[in-house]
Amino acid sequence: MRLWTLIKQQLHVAFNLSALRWYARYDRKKLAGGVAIAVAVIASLVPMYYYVYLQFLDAVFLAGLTIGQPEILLTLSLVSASFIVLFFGIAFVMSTFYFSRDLSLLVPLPLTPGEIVGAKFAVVLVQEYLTVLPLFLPALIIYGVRMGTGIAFWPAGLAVLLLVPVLPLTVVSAAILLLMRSTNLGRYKDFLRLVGMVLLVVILLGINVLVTKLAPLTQEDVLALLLAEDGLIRFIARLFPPALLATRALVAGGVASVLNFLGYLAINLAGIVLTLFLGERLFYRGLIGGEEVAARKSVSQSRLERKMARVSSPAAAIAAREIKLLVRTPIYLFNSIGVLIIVPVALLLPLLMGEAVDPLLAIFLQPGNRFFVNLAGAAFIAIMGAFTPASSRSFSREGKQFWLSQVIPVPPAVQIRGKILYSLLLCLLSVPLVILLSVFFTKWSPPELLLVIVLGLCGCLPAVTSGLLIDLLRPYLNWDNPQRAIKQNMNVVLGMAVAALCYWLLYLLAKHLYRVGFSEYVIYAALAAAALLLGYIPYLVMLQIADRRYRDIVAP
Amino acid sequence: MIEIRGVSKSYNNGAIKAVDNLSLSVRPGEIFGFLGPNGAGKTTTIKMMVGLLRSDSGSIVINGHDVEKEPLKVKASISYVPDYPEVYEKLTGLEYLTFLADVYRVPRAERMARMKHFLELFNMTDAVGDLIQSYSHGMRQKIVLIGALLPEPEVFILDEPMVGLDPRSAHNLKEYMREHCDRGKTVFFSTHVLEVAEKLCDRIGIISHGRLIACGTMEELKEQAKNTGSLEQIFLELTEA
Repeated sequence: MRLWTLIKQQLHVAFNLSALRWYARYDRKKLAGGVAIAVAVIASLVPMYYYVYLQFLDAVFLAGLTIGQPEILLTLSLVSASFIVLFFGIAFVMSTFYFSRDLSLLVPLPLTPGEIVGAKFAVVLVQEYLTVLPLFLPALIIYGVRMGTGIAFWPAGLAVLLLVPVLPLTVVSAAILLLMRSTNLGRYKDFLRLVGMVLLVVILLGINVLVTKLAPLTQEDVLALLLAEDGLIRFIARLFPPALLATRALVAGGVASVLNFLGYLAINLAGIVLTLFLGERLFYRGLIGGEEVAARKSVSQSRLERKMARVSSPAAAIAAREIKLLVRTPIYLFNSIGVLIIVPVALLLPLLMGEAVDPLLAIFLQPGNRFFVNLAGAAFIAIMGAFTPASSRSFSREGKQFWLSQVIPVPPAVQIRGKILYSLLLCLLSVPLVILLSVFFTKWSPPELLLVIVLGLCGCLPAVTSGLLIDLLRPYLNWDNPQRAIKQNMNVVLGMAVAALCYWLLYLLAKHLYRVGFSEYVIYAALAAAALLLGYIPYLVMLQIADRRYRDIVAP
Repeated sequence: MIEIRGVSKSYNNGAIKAVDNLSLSVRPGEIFGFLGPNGAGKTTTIKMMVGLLRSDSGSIVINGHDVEKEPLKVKASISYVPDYPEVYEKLTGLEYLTFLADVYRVPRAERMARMKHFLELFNMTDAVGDLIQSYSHGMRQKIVLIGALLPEPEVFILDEPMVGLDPRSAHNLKEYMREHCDRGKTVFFSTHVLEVAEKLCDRIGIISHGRLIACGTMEELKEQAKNTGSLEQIFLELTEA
């Protein structure tokens, strides 16, 4: 009963329900504005969602139908949704469990650690439904409608949908509880925790690759997979075995459906029990002392004077502040550079462990394809820039400390330049990856490498400035744990959507110029100029509105 | 100096009047105490003075510059200490101070001398290398205070500055405020500690329900309230309604 009360309270806080009710009563205009923005954000994503994801699901269904295994659609979307929850849940769970501001209120209350963990878990779970719903629901609908399933399919589908994020989240929660307990060690704990999160991702990816590589497929195996009744489904479900139970619960029919569902439910419940058990045992031991830092370091007089004497320009001081805050907050750092680690690991592991991609790589790297290889390298830097969205949460990240930016005598334009500088510095982090790529695969010459890097960084600019503009227009400052500044911040999604639009325009430009027959150097120059222009437009808009926005934003 | 003329601010589309047609002026060399019950409009007024909130009407002029029209000139001549020391927890105290010295463009020699002086004055020299995250509420308040003092502002604006300070630091702050004003500069601060206001302030303003209900020296307040008692008695009487 106490747990239920706590869950209700936590959900109220997490979804700002009281505030929404208040706005509905006293300030409908503001509420309508918020709803309109949310609708606009979702609407902006609909074309991409439809043409990329839904069309893909449809194609998977049709392919499955051709070989007599249409259920592959359900298994594939179950596995994908589970993996997305698994990877993106790492920072979310850590932040919600350990860095929520309300912990200092909850811990002194007569609640058990298991109850606090249970309530926090419920909050993460409900928020993960927002991720799972658009991924899995279309698969259910496509399958159900196209196959003309019986009425029992729909309640079963709903039950499976509700269970999809549970198991991955319990795995992540258990791992985070263990990680935080074992790294609660003095001054290096932030660093250890970052390393732990990255390791967790690498381990999860490694297990995934290992599982798929355990039994290499021969031609006969492939034939058997296609011919067996649910061969391909079993094959896909090797990545996440409970997905097989869930698929069968939906399609097997009769008693088999019920038994498979009960099996799936039992695994999920076991995950919850394990999380609560570990929470009861480990939560406080990972949390208590979390706010403490190392014993006081005495700074020598000479060092103090040296540090005091360092003078920087305001823009450089702002960029330095942003970088220090990023580097010292594991959640931000993981969210900002995690993708720079995950993507190469995800790419390299299969390359290192199998030969299937070698022929593809060989074709791609043929001398006649240099132009495309160069563009792909630049696109990699640009896309990584969009995936390390430091800019689209740059204002939001300041949260309750935004008042400082508002009262300092530094023109907002200068502060914005500091933020652009900081975001571009983060984009530079993908350069070492490109160099590694060059050393091992693409073998770019130094001038080519320089070209790829410069073109890639030009490509980052539209993502940086448009993201910054979006966040300046609607900063999300009133968050209670750092992950909420990122996870519940639609600006990040909107920023990526705008970046995707910019990249699509650049792609169209390159395609057009190539077809017309321009030389590759003209195309490089045109792309760089177009990217700079696309980046400059949001910058100009920001300069126009910055003074007003800095005055109008009300810091919480 | 500070000139507030007919300033109003309301919330909920005018349903709640936080500040209602407020006018007052603070002269150079003056310590001005701003008193009022909880929710009277003190913090809202201060936030409008430092550019954190926009007024619905009226004007605020600080050192000859209008807050709305020349915000940067105003910001360059003031320092502000908020009621709650919400600062960058992942910076060390020293990094926070150097950041402020950079953005206020305090020259090297001055910043070094002032940092050393204020760190010693508020007994923060040993803690300045630590992350602000590890500071107690009082230490955070002190680091915010030191940061605000670094630029030697013409006008020093503080919202409840004594909260969380230990007695020695509170005493040092009061001494500094007096010295600051003796050099012809201005201090404007809100407080609930009436004894401090009575002893320290040259003039006092009392706000209630967003309106300035009394303003002047202690003697003038006594006259206005027709009460010769302490500031506490005057305050209670004036804010009773």
